[in-house]
Amino acid sequence: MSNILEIRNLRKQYDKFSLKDISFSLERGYIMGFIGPNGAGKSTTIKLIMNLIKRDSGEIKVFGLDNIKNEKEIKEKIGFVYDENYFYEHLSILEMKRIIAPFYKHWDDGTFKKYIKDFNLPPSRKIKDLSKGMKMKFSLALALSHRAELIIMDEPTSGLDPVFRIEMLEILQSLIQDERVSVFFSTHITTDLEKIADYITFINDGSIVFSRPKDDILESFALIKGGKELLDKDTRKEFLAIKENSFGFEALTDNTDRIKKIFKNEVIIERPTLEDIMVYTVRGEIKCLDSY
Amino acid sequence: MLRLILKDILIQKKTLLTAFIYGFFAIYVFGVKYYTNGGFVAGAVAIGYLFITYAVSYDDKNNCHIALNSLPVKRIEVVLAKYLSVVLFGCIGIFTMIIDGFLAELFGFAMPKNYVAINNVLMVFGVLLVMYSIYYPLYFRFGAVKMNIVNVFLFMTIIVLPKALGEFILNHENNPLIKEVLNFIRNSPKSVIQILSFAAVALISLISIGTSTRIYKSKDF
Repeated sequence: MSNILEIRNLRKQYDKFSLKDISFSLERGYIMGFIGPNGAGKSTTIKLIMNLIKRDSGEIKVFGLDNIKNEKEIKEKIGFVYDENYFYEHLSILEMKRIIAPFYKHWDDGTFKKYIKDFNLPPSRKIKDLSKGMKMKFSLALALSHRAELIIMDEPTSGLDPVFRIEMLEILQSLIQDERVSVFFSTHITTDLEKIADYITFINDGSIVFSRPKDDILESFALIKGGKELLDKDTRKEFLAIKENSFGFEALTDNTDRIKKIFKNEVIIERPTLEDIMVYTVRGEIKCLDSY
Repeated sequence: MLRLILKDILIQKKTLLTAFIYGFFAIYVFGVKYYTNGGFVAGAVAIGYLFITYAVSYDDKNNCHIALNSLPVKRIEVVLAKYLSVVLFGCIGIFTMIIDGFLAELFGFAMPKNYVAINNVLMVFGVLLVMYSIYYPLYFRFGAVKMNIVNVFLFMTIIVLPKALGEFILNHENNPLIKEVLNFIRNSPKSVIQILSFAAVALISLISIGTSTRIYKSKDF
């Protein structure tokens, strides 16, 4: 299967933050969720893919082509949705569309009109008068109207109501029925990804924690619950992170078999959510947690 | 690139009306009042200034560079389009001043002779290109908001400079350097002066385009 997006040893250094030689890839026909806490490097990575910021080193290939050398060719086939509106706010939806459409060789006005109608967007309304959800719908309509093969979205669901979030996730899911199309989707709302993502790439403090199929991740991690008396200096080391309260503890492990062997039936083993994995992994770097 | 130039017009269709009204103002203030051709040049330059200022302000207002650079365009095209827009807005300025001049005459205003002389037309392009060759590298580096003062300063300089320069030359006619330059201009064929002026504007523009391209290509959004 060919990779639609391939990132190798990507590095970008800022004064107070750096992206540290990150690598991951996305195959055609799949949705990849890109998760991580605020400031982890999600937007920086997306901006590097879109060549909005310059990489210090590493390689970014989109459709097998270098994203800088073949910038124009690549961007013809990328649909982008950002977390904020970067269009001319004083223009109406139709006026903005008239500006954007000629840039794409394969612009399909019929598809655009269909989305505008489906999303209930008033074509003559000025962008500044649209709600956040409507602005996002408009961005999505533009991104989906030029036969893009890779949809890149930076926090598209943040600040949106659950109804539209579900609607958008359904659209993304229907998109990948066409096996040529992939979606790369950054978010901190991990429940959205549990519904639709095939792969999860988790970034924290500029480094990739993991980039794996979602089901593998959910199966390989486990949430352990037990009484406080089970924790001592040695057993604590068996967990990636621990949360304690006055009644007991909750902890994350990536080695369920070993935990079963040590604690036998004294603990409850549960399937974690992506949010659990993200929160525990981020906190796990502190190593010792009293409570939070 | 043409799409980027077209974009600069589509985002400010209302400026056309402002330009049309401003043309009459320029004819009255710079033209009728002093009975010179200055009204045409000043008016057309001011209209060009108006369009360029709105274009860069709208681009910066919503951080539209992020959307523009996510489209299938190269950064060098964004830069070149801005310089070509100067020529286009110069054309709009000239065209507006021709229409306004015609209407002013129709309503009985005494218009100067040779109102639309080729020299005036060339001067509009020359002035705008030099102005924005200074402005654009700073704009691409610092953005429209921070460089707004530079834009206003350049425009005011261009408006005030010809009169100030004329007075300075008259007061220093005996200065050897000024004498030499004046003699050269008086004794050289008009075509030589035109070619030299054209070459100077072209050189300044090319250096500016190169600088702006280098700045914009390395810019992080």
